[in-house]
Amino acid sequence: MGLRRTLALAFALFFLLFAAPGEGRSRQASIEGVNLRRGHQSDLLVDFRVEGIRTRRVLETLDSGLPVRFTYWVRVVRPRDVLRDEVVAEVQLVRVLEKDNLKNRFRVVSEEGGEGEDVGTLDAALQTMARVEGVSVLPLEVLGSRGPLVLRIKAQLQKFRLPFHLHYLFAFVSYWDVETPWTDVPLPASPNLVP
Amino acid sequence: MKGVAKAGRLLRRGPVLLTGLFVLWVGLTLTQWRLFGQMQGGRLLEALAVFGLVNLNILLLLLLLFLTLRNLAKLAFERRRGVLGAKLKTKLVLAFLAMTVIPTALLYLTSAGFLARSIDSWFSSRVEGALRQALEVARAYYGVEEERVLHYARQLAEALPREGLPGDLAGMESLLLSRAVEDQLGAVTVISASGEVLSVVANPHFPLPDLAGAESPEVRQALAGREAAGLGRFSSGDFLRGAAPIWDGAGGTVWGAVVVDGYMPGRTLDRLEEITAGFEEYRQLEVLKAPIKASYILPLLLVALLIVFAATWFGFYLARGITGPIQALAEATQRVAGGDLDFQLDVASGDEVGTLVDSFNRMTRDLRASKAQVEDAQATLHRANEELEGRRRYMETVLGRVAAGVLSADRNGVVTTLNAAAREMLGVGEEVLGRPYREALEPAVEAVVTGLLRELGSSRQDAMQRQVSAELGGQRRSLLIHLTRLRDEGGELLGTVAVFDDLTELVRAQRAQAWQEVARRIAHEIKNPLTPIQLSAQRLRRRYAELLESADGEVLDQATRTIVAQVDGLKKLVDEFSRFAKMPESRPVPADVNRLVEEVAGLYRPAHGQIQFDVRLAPQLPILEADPEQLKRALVNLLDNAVAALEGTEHGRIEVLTGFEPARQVVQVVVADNGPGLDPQARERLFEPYFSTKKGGTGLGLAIVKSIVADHRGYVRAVDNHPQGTRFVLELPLPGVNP
Repeated sequence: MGLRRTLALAFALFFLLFAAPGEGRSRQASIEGVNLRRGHQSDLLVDFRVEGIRTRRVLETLDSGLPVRFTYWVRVVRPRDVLRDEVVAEVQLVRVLEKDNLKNRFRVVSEEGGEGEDVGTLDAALQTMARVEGVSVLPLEVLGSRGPLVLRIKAQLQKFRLPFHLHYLFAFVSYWDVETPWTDVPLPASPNLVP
Repeated sequence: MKGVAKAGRLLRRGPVLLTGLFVLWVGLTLTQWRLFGQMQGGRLLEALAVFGLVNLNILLLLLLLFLTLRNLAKLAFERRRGVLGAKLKTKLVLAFLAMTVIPTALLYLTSAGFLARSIDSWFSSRVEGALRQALEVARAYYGVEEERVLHYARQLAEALPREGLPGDLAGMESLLLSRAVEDQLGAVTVISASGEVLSVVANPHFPLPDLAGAESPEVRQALAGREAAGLGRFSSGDFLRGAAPIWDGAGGTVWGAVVVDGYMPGRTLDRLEEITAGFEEYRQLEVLKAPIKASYILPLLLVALLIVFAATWFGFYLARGITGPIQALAEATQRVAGGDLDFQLDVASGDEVGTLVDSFNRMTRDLRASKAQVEDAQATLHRANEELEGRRRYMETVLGRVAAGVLSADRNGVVTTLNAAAREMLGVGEEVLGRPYREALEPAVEAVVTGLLRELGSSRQDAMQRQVSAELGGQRRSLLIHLTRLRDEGGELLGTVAVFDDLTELVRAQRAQAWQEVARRIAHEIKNPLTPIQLSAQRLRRRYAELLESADGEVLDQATRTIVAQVDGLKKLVDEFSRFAKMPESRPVPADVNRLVEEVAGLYRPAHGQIQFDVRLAPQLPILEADPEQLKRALVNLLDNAVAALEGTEHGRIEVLTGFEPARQVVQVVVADNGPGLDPQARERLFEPYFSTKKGGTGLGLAIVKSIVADHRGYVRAVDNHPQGTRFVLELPLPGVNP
């Protein structure tokens, strides 16, 4: 077998094994109940919730005393045919849920600041985690001035990190089974939104 | 050459291979980082560096695997093609594989199993149950303690408004102190809604905790209308702090908060936290069970694979180390077998293979030296052979030039040498060589030679000679045969040499010389009295002329006439004798034989119309040094004889031919007739003086021809013409040629 053929085969194998897109993960989680509102400062507010975050892995992680960190991306993009879509605005939110095993209580903390919220039960804690309300994305006058825009939302659980940098060695061992696909919501051209 | 070609291929492929591997490595690293690295939340460079190192190891492992598989494939192909050393290489590689794979696999499987079982044993249900129960106990204890402080805080919060407090601070503090002492509380603090500390009471039996303020989370919760409890680690000790809101009785608003600090003796809180931490670590470890297993088993697997690959590679290396020199030896052997003795093996090895290679090189050197010696010997032998051949050719040349015939035979009588003179003399060809002389020689000669050999055998001599006369080739020849026995240094008989001297011409010459002497004497003795006789006869005629008129004178006239006529005849005869005895000396000049033949033949054609003259002249005949007049005379004599021989013959035909033999450098002139021919006796004496077969012939014509030809160092012979007649052959050598 020639050298070039061997290399080509190795590349093909490599792309089959490693270059598969990250869409092959669990699709249980999803973004639901997207709601657009007008903010007090004439900005676009977004409410949504994440369904399907109650997984075995999340529960095990919480039970082991480790925090569960959710990241939410809220983007406004201008779609383009050839070029990559232009990101007009982007907001990133991080929510951390942790369990105090001694007290047997949960606490939801937003990393953007603000008081943590003690929650007595797991279900209530997960609901608090999965509900995002009043995210200010961009000023309303931008709508319509930049052409058709699309709101894209995605949520994912931060990968559970192994100690001693083992996560690098076992990068293929995934403890991260909560990830939503990007949910697209076309934005209206006129800023006639209900407050 | 093969190694150089392989190195060249590697050099050409090297950049391509390295570039491909580098691109693969970069692609792999970036893809992994895209898939996994971003989610680790670590720094970009750190993630890239770690993935790069991991991938480098993976690629090196893959490269090792590829090289091993490639070598194995190559070995399989070599075996299929039957390359020398492939079987031995296979055996060695398989042996190494068997010696390493089996123990390594066993060791790996055993170790991996042991590790897996050990790690599984850490996570047994009993351990988890115990830890969970310990946590439950800790939770229960904490819950009880929390409930206790909250209970007292709640009680006090409810009691204070009932007691009309906090209007009366002194009364409130006394109440708080009595409750603190009574309920074993560490401290009780009352805080207003604005966060002002209204009263603090500490139990003297316990250490004093840090005072609760408005910034305390429990206080904030309580002022917000919610009961809250929390742990407090202070320099004085560990406390469980509970806070309860003091409700305004009427409006349902929070008036303030009561904070109760329950002292936790000793290391109670540490133990609670240890229990919790133990359980959490256990749970985390449980989550990490698979990666931990993998982190132990993966290096083991890598080491095992490394050992296997290394063993395989070492097997190949060792096999190459053994089969390489063997292959080189085999190729070298083929080259040496092909005659390339200058080839030297260049295999650096300090072991027995090296010794073998050294021996091989020594052997080729010895062979080269032997070959050189053999070549020298061959050259010497060749030179000796050439010398011998030269000598043989020289001997043959000598023998060929020798007028005497030389015939040699080995001890068995088989003919080994026969020179040209002997072949011509004995009338045989080269086919007699290698045959017994009894079969090869003419019976007449064989009988003579056999007789001589017998005589020689009976005598004690080694040499003997006899003169014999024998019929050879249709001619009677006088031969002097000289026989000599050849012996080596030891006296052993090697063979016999017979030398034949043809004395025929010598005998003839002697006879001719004798006749010339006789003729000279006769001419001298007879010529003298002839003139007086003739003169006397003429005188008698003149004196007695008158008598001649008478009848008596008739006798006289007839007698005198007869005497004069006979004397004239005698004079002619004597003149012939004189001419024979005293041939004029030849004056050689460059002569064209063809022209001479044309001139002489031209004289005869018109005179003898009934005879067909067929003159065929060889083109480009060399010019001879000859006396034209004498040659013409010889030709005239031969043509006279031919014409005489054809007298009374119908369809008479005379051929006159010229030719040239380049090998002998001899010009031939042939005069042939289709007359009755000669009998053997006549042919033998043909060239003797006074021998004639013609009526009225003097018998001197052919003697003169022979004499003229002899003066020109030539040779004349008469042979039978086919189908009939006689053929005279004159052979005249070119100048400078020894006949």
